[in-house]
Amino acid sequence: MDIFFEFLQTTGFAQMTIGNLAMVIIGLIFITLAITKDYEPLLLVPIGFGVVVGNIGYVDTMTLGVYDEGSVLYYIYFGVSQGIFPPLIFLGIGAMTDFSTMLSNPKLILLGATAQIGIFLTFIGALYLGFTPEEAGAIGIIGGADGPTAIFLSSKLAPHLLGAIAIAAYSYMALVPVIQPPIMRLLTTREERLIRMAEPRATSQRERIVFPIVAFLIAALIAPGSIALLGMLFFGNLLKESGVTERLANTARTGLIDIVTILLGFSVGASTQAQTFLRPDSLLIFGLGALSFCIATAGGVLGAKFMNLFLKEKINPLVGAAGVSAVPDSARVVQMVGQQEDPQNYLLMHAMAPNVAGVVGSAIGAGILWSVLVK
Amino acid sequence: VKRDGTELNFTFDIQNIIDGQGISIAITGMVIVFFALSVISLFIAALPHILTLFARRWPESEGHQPTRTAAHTQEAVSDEAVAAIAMAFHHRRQA
Repeated sequence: MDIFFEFLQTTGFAQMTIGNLAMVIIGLIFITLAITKDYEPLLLVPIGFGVVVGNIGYVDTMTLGVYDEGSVLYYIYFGVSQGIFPPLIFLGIGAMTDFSTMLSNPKLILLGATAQIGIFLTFIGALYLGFTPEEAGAIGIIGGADGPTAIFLSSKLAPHLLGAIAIAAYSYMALVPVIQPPIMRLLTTREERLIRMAEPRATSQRERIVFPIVAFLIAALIAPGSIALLGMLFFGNLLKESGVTERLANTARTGLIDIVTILLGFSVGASTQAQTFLRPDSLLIFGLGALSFCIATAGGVLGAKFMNLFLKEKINPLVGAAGVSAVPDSARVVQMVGQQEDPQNYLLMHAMAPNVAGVVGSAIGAGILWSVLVK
Repeated sequence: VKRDGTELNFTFDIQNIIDGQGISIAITGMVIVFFALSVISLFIAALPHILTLFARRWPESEGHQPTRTAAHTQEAVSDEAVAAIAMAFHHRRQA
């Protein structure tokens, strides 16, 4: 009988805290939102289920969680904690990204830079709240609206905040269709939202092959901290565009990225154990993350309006909002908001240019913060 | 106390920004991001002209033809499209 009572003490029911229960409910909300609202289901389902798994209580002597050295989850989480998964995700993104619209209208790349103001203003905000410079840098990168970049930089600068930063980044990416439209409408007039842009020109295969090589050299020589992310991004794109490595490109953009997404999402979710996640600094990180998304969106839109002061062929300022990365969701939001004013105005292709430039810009921003803040 | 064991400092103080060199890091970061993307933008703008000069010496048709062209053409046309084209062709021959 004693053995039975001892066993009862080891069950999840006995070990469960109120915090664990709250996190399990949060995980279930993620799964529900993904299934019913279609909010980033490929990410929120693995993360949500990981949150549920990570918050089942167990006795301390058992090695089960992501922080228990030797456990299965520990080894899966190793790819996150050591920054291995994000570059692999970038390889897949590169293999599925078409840079043609960016190549056909290079001035739109600058919108991918203006939107990065979200990173650096949030960095200042996090410092103001009392975070250390390393923590502030890791929190600021949420403004890059790029989950893999946020995880990569957090693993390097503030591994203890990784769970909160990753959850904040992916949650806000899922909420891009909710967060961005009000800001976009607030900062633009109806006339501006009605601006139609010229069709992008066709690009040659040579352009598309030369671009990833030279763009990597430029970015990596300026900010070597971005080598891992941009190296994989542009390598993946070269696999796609070279035309002679179709099998490799196909693997990178399908099987590989899917496997890594499953492992990353699940283990990040499992890292949110209530004992380490439900803390005041997590709330601050969530607040700062929301702020950074808003600033980044505003930065992109205002950047486009500023450029229009000097351009003959005006840019629809809505496309600036796509500079926050979050590929391709923010570009879809631009298309949606644009078509609410003019159903015949197709902005998606134009928005993809600042969108992919935003990916490059946020990776460069991460590289800079890593170089400056690493001790 | 933060999760790494250090004390969480909720001072909400401008001095934190000054001590952490926040303004200078932020300005430097933005300038470098702008510079890097501007250089990439200028390179892309110049790329068609560079390739035109390049093509005079090594025309694209003389280079290695990637194997994907044929495969892509086949992949790009779906069965429905083939059926639609065949139907249109059939109607045209009957007319």
